[in-house]
Amino acid sequence: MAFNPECLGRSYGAGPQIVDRERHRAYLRAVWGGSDWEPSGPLATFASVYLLWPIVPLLFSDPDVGLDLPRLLHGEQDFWFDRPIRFSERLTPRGEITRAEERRGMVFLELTCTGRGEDGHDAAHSRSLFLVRSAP
Amino acid sequence: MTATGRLDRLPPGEGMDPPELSITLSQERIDSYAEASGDHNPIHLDRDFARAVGLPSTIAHGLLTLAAAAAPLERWSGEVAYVSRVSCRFSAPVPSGDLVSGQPQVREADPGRMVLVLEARNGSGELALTKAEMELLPL
Repeated sequence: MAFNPECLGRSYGAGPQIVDRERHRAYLRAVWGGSDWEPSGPLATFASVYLLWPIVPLLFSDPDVGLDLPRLLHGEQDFWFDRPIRFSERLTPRGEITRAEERRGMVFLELTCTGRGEDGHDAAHSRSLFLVRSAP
Repeated sequence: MTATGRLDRLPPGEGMDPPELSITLSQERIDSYAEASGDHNPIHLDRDFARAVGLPSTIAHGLLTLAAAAAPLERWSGEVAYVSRVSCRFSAPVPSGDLVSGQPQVREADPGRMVLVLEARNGSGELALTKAEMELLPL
């Protein structure tokens, strides 16, 4: 399956995601280790759970994109927020391929995701750059 | 933000330094992260698969490395600020079992904003994250 640079602009959506405190506890145990700290709001990188991962499997399994997953690397990541995110709120993620190119056998694919709050305003954002190494 | 908030009390060169990073990304921790995050890519979980794609062993998720580097700073910033941005480039892998270490720095600070530079080196001393920054804004 060959990479398709024409995938630029393709978009993906998922249903509303709850910023779940219990799931965050499990996440915090993995990231922090101890149980001596429980922040009042989710860690910034927890956006990977409610914003990024609801979308990424849709991208990775899209046959019209044609990613060689075993050779895929996560190159860059950027999360940014318009306001503090709170536990129990619902955000609806949407993602779009904002860069798709192949240079010297290396694929550069950028996914930009936005999480919209129940008030209809965007609240959380993610930009991920994935690289796919050429096969030997 | 109150007048005694951390963003006021920590201009560069004054006050407390951000906490040093020192955390071992064991396979157990990587497994726990996969479960909690939903990222079950076998390069993180299956040693044979990792070797088959040219890695010496399983490696930590880049997002786990970023989260492990960022979390101590979120704790340090207390309840007076929130992270408005965190970003990085994943520049070197962190093999499972590596001690990840680094000393973050305050790059900018004024009453209404602080920017921290994160540092995370893998067990070989390579920078696992570059261009790694966190911006804090007052709650």
